[in-house]
Amino acid sequence: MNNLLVEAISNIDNDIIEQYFKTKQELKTKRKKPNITLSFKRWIAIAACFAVIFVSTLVIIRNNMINQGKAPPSTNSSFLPNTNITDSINGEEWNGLKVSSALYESLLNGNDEDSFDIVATVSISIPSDYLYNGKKYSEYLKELKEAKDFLSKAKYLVDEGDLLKYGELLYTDGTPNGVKWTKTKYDKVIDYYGESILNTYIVDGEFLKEKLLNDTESTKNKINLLNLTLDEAKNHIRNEALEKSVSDFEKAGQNATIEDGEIQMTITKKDFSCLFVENSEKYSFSLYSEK
Amino acid sequence: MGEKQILDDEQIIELYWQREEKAIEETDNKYGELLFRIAYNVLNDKSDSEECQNDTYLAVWNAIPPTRPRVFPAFIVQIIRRISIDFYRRKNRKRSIPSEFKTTIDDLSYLLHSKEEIDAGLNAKELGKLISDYVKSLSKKQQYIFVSRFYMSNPIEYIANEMDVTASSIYKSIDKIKKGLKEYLTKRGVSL
Repeated sequence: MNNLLVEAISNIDNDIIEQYFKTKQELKTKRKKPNITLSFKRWIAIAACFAVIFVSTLVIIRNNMINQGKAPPSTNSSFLPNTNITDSINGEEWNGLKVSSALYESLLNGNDEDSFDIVATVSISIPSDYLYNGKKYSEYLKELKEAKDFLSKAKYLVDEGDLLKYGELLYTDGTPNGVKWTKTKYDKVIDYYGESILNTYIVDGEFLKEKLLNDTESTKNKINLLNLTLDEAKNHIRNEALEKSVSDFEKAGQNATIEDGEIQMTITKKDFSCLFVENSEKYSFSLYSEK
Repeated sequence: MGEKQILDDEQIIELYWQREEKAIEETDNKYGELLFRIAYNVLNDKSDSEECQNDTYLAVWNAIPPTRPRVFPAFIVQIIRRISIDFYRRKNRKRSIPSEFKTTIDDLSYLLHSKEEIDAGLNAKELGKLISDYVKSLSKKQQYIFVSRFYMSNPIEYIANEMDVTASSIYKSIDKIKKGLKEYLTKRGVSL
């Protein structure tokens, strides 16, 4: 572990930690405050939804009566919002879509024709069997983990290799320069490094320090490369997912663009209330101004 | 039966100044859970965390007076973090302890690349100052996330729950913060 970084983080300014506690308190107060106004507004919204449904039903019945026996009413009944009332009551959701509190409030207080600049954040999961440059994502991760493990062990072995080359002498007779360990300690240390590393760097009673240092350097390079590759793979997966999302929104009749790695759109309250996009559970919507 | 009254921080500090042992009880009553969590995030062990918690109460008792902390929780959190990390180092000397603390530090380390690269001509205070300057340039929300994740070592889900947002949005914010930090440090000749 990087001790310099641990110390540096420990040294961050007091006022940052103090600010954290002030924000924490604000969050706590926000959560505790019984939001009577909001509850009232929600009930008003529910009542309004019922009113819309009631009026819409009346309009449909009236149209049907006027059209008596003519073609069935158009399925393009966009005035009927697909608002899931139960979800709205639970908060944080609008029309079954996860929304931020600020967006929820804006929708609640807005008119049907009001437009909102909205950001849709896509939750992207990386399939472990995702193939990138001929290798699975999980394989890259495994290699990275192994390389990191090696590096952390190598850091100690550089110092301890010259003792470990004496093998069991370390706890039986002690080394020529008088170092003697207990068997428990010896076993623990041997177990920590593992046979593979010890057999590679301690050969015929010699500690191959140069080889260890060279391998450490190349492992660092390997880690850098693996990190870059994983970043590239993540970007690739992310871009694919974003493009698929844009296409899903278009299929749902809503134009969307990719900006700064997020989906952005301008949408009216009415349209948002009827928006039905594929895999909607992977999106969370917020106002662009919240960014 | 009424609920136990929680004292204001000023009242607790006053108890320490009056050398009233009740100060420790009140600290535990109000901040025991927070302190335990921070120690646990570092050590990933219940009894070790409790030990650190007790050491912290003693350290606070010894520090106040003469200290009169401006923000009491910030003060005690700094103490328990220091004690827990020392404990972690002693325990971790030969064997790696898996904990949120280790994960968060590793997360930043790999962002900053190898230890040696950071070591060049920089000490912890200077790097801490650079990180502080960067954190202060962030929004209040991002600052909160940074401290919660990298100072308190809180798990992502915990932060999301505290902030009443989804875990994925926290992941996203952390990613943004890390990239920003990398850029900030790189511009100042640290890191890559």
